[in-house]
This record gives sequence, structure tokens and C-alpha cells, in this order.
Amino acid sequence: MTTEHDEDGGATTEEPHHPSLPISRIKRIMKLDKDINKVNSEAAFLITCSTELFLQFLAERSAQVVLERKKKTIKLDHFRVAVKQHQPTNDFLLDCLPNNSEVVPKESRGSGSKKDVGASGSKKIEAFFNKCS
Amino acid sequence: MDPADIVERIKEDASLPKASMTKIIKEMLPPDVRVARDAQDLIIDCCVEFINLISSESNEVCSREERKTIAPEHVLKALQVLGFGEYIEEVYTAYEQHKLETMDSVRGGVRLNSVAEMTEEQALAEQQRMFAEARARMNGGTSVPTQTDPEPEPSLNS
Repeated sequence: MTTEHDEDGGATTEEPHHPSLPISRIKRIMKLDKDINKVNSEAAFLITCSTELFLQFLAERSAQVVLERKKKTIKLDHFRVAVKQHQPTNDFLLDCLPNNSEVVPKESRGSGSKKDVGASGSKKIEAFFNKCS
Repeated sequence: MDPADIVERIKEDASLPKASMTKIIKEMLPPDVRVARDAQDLIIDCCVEFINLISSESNEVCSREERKTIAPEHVLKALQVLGFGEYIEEVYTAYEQHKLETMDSVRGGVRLNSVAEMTEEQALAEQQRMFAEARARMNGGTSVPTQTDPEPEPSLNS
């Protein structure tokens, strides 16, 4: 994420022209889903940029919560609050649970296939969000 | 290699590089704010889930169009449908820029001020045109589930 050629007045904000995250890694994660066949490299680029934006968003929102509470370290609790403040994020992080009673069935949620390797991550998220409900 | 090490390695390969993630997180925080280790790990896991989410939805869009390869427009549609429409403009800008730069390097690394016959102004105009097209496609697309969009304008990067 670099700003380039700012001499002309620097109106440009930082844009992820070159994502910091490795596109190949993200492509690998995507391919773990057996329902996904081929991914165009440009599509992988877009998803990489989106993921980076999402990460920034999570960090930024968590930081806001922490500052509101006049604390200095972002803890799980702050992150939980930040997530709940944004409906789409809240929905999908709860929705990835296998048997959450609060889940509203989505009309298109993909195959819902669970990857073995990613399951540990999902379980952690499940445990985390179940704690607060 | 120890079998446990192999499994650990596989798990890491299926996740996102911690160092890069930590760096991006830190860039978003005020200088004196830190992140607890377990919160950081969870944030990373949530990002992996995000990738799964977008990929899955993009795949759905792709299948509905009876295409075999997930393409950029499927991803943009997926973002819209899932409530992350505010990302569209920014990622699309990055994508267009990336394409221009790729075209540049394909030309044997010759650095030109204008790419092909386009000046920068023309490239920007072309980008705006494609935005409008993408938006029109999305707005005219099939069912869009209800989604809340509290921020009318993207404000992720300040």
C-alpha cells in the first residue's frame, strides 16, 4: 500500500495498488474448497485486496472501541464489540457456525463446505461468539 | 520431518502470513495501541473466513452464469451481495491500476508515460466508465438480499 507520485498535491489516499498480502496464498486458501474449480488471477487479486481492506476495517474498528474505553490494548472483548457493530460482518462470522440457533438462512451462502484444515479456525470463531450470546 | 511438524506446516500454508497481517493491523492503530495475542490470532482467522465467504459467493455467482472460472465481475457481485459493497470502488481502482502496470511490464519493461494510446486522463475516464458499467450490472442484477449499509461512503482508509 504505497502512495505514489504525490507531488501534484497529494490528493490520493493510500490505495492497495500492490496488496501486501500474497495473492498466491489466498488462491491456495480458496482452492481448499473442493467446489471451487478455477480462479482467474485478476479475481484472486480482487479478493486479496478485499481481504486486506477487511483486515484494516477490523483493526480500525477495534481500535475505536479501545479508545472509547480509554484502554491501550485491544482484547477479544473489544474485537467482539467491533464486529457486532457492523451487520454484514456480524452475520457472516456467526453464520459460519454449524448449528447456531440464531442463524438466519441466507439465500445464497455457497456450498457451505467445511475444509478440514480451516476447521480449527472456524471452531475458534464459534467458541468466541458463543461466549457472548 | 516430524508428522506433527508437517501438520503444523499445512495449517500455516492454509492461513495468512502472520507477519504481514500484524504489520497491516499495526498500520491502522494509533502508535500507543497494541493488540493482545489471542485477539490478533482471531482477527487472522476471521480474515481467512472472509476469504472463504467471498470465494464461495463468487463461485455461486460464477455457476449461475454457467461459467467455469471465477472472474473479477463475480467477485464484485459477491462483495455487493454480502454487504461489502463499500469495498468495490477501492478494489476496482486497485485492479485497474494493476492492469495498467501489468500492460506496461508486458511491453518489455519499457516505461512510458502513457500506456498504449491512452493518456492518464483517458485511462481514468476509462476507469470511470467501467465503474459505471459495473454498477449498472450490479443494480440491474438478480435478487439482492437486504443488507444494511450504515456508511454511505467508503471511509476505510484515512
